[in-house]
Amino acid sequence: MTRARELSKGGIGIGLTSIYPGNVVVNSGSATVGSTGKVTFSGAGNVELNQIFSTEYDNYRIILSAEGGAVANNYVAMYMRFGSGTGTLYNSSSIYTQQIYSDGTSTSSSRTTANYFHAMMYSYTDNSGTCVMDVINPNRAFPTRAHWTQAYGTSGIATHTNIGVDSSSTQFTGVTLSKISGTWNGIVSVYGYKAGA
Amino acid sequence: MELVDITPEDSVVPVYLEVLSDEEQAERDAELAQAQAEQEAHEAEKEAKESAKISGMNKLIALGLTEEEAGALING
Repeated sequence: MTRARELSKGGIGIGLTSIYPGNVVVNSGSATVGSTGKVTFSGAGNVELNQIFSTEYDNYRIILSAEGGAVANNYVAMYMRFGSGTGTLYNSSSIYTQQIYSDGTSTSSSRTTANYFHAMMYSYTDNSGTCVMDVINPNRAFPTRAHWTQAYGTSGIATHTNIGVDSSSTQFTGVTLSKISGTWNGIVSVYGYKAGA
Repeated sequence: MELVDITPEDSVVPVYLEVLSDEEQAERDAELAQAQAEQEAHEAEKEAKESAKISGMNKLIALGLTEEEAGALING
């Protein structure tokens, strides 16, 4: 058997596994979780995904597709949650985000300190955009780091490349994806990297 | 905070709607206002940097550099 075939069969345990949230909480609108674990939401300001991080995996991938909403041109922030059940919002301003943003030929950078990972996604004029984020060690007693890229717009496109770190060693169990103004529609999926990946 | 079960028939996990008391809603509004203010400050900083870049480019071009040369100096 070739190494590629071994990998495709998960022979040495590398790959992504779909994660089903334990529960989902929205502050408005609606949401549903499909049989593949895909969370589809509509008319929500906040979307909480609870019990997605556990000791089963160290590292996770979150893929977000924003597909319209009310009030354009603002950010989606990612807050962390901890504890069992529907969890508790982590509210310490110990999260640093460094970003490079590029729009046309212009490139710039910034750093923020807040109680959330800044600018998980920017909702453009049509409230559309995508984000691919890897979250490293969220459920370990170790600082959580996130690496992500986002793309938004359909004609005047722009991109952000971000890294963020929470300097505490809180063992997180979930996230709140919060549009800081208005509501939004979209799809979010969470995957766990199998041990060793 | 009250959680109302709004799980649709096709959902494989529970979905809840968060209903806040007036006091909790006020706290949430304050948090969002702060996040909004932080975003606006961030946007203003970004725009100021862009303006400074454009101004610097124009000054370099006025000194005789080509747009490409000025861009290389400004953007590194």
